[in-house]
Amino acid sequence: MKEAVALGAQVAIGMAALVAVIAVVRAALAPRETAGALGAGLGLTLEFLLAAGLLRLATRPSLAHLGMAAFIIVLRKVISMGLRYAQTAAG
Amino acid sequence: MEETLRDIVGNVALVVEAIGALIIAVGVLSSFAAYVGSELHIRPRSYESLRLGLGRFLALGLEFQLAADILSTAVSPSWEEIGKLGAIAGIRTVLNYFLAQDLTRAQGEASSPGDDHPDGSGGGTSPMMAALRGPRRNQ
Repeated sequence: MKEAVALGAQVAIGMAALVAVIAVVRAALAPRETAGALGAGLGLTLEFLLAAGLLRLATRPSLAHLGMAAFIIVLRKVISMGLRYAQTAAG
Repeated sequence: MEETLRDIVGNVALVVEAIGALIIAVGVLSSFAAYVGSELHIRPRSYESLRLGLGRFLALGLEFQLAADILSTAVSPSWEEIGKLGAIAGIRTVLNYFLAQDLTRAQGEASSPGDDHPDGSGGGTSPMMAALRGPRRNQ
């Protein structure tokens, strides 16, 4: 079961990377049309990464890895909230 | 007697934990499918509504995993286990709190009657929401 969950986490990370790359490319190609879309795309990326972190947490990591996993999850959530704050401030 | 009780509760906790992980995995897959459909213009949705849709799955999965944590506190044998459990339960609780806050805020903003749609696609129908979102795509 641990292997399956860890694999799921990796798949989620891959999806997050794809979403981020597409959002960045799209914003680079048409910066006017997609104003604000880059931030929203990165928000979606972070949500996928958050899911990956939660899946990894379910594999019961050792105490040393647990601190790292927890820190990464909190970091992602904070960045996500910051992105949203920037969007509402700009919009 | 105590041993069997320990075994039973431990196994139930494991199953509940697996259900939570499964919910999160299903959420990731279905959100990604919705994202691909949106990018290919089959069924366009805003990034924000996709994010909230995934957040809904995460909140539900977290709730199950918290239930598993609570069950595990009943049978934790060692201090190390309890410490780990406390850290995991703490982080899940904090995340659950923020996710719930996100979702209620989104619900409050999109106060049109159609927005109790389970996949969150109803958001963004009110003019105020459209104005808040600004010149984003798919609007």
